[in-house]
Amino acid sequence: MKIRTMRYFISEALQSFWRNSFMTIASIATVALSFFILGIFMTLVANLDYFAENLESQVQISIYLKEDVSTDQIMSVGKRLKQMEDVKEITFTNKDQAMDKLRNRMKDQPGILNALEGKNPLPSSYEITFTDPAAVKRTARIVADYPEVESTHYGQEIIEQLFQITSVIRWGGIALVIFLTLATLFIISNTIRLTVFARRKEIAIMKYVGATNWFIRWPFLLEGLFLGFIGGLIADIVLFQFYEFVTVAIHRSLAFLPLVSMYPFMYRMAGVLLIISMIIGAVGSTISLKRYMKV
Amino acid sequence: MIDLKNVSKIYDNGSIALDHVSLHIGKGEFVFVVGASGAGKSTLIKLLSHEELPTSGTVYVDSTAVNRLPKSRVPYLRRKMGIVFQDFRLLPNKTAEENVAFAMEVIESPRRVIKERVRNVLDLVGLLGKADALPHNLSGGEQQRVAIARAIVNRPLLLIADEPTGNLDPETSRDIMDTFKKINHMGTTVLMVTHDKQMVDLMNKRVIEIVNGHVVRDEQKGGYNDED
Repeated sequence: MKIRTMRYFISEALQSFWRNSFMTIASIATVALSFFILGIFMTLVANLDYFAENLESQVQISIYLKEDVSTDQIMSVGKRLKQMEDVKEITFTNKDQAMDKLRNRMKDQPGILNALEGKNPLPSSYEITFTDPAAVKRTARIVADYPEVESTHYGQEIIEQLFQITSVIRWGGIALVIFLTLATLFIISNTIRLTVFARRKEIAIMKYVGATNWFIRWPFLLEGLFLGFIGGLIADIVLFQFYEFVTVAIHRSLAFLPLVSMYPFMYRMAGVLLIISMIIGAVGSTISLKRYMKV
Repeated sequence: MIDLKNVSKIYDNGSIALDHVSLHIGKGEFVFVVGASGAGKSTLIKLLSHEELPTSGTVYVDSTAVNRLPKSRVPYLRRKMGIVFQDFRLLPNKTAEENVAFAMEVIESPRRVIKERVRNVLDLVGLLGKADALPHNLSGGEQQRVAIARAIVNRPLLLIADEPTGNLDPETSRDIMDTFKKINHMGTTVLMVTHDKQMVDLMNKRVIEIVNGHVVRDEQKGGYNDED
């Protein structure tokens, strides 16, 4: 493509920016708002996923042994646990140690422990941590069937609930994304339709004298790309500010909450949003041109 | 230059615009197409420019089968023909010179060539002195000259005119006809659809008459009516 032609396309696209300044601003604002909301959802889902994974990797299984197991049996359970895959660490707590821990914790209310009348109802237990969080559930299920084992515990309910919440938000987000995308597409194609309509005579003449379809299409395509790009860029900038603000605020008040760090997550998301917004801009302009290209 | 082989055009609403029409127009000819409104004259032009496709038959322009042309080649077909309309179709915010130049710009001609050739064609149609005038400052005849200049600036093989004098008074029409004659003398084939009996009789050129989608008359040196 010649440089002169390219300059012509760009100047045509810019001209229609000024000519329909109100609609231009309206479309940019719509794109920006839609993609900001989109970005918020993506951030939310990413952080919930991250939180759930984080929690899962910290999960340990507590294996409580039966009251009457012998030392040999305890040792044999420990040996079998050691042979499991993805095991990071195994610690054993016998009945006395468990009692000590409890006593320690209940220092302020010695009356409660006195009610036990010197008996120790606490079981011996193994605590296992894992290198792969996926191993938690699998291992827990196997160990629960050991004859020496009374019961196993891990934070499965919390994690499963968290995953459920994440999936609800994800699907809600997808529905919202589709809706917002259509709305954005609608407003961009309407904006460009104004330009196309204002220039329909020119388009008809261009077609009659043999301008190629792409030559006619480019200025409108560029206009759509610009609208999408600027709207997407504004959304990105606001999202960065917003995420930074939220990160700081959460670190101050809820420091234990793990958050996805800005880099590379935000940069990647910003890039994706920008590309999608430009695609929508281009598609929007193609839609509005179709009718006038028929001649 | 133009060949129609057994061409029919039936529109979606069922109206038959052309019914098994065959005709041949040679290079450099000057041909009038006459007939009542709705006889199929405009359809003929639309078939030549690929604005409409025939229901059956084949349309050739410069040995190219227009109706078998892939869409992407249509612009290049149209560069072989210039079209002039009854309502001029000039861009109101461009000067005469810019209107003519526009036709060259959009097919990406080099700037140097544009300037020179636009001047030449404006001179040819006798409007060099009004190159900087906007269309609304020009008379109807002058506007049509600008439109003709625009139609020929890309040096088409074929000049198609759809009622070019329909909005003009007889004297202006004669001037416009002289311009077409001049262009025809330079080798361009001219196909003119018209209702202008006086002009057709005066020019004494080949006349094709279409009635209800049929060619009912094709005379080498004809008049508007049969009995002339």
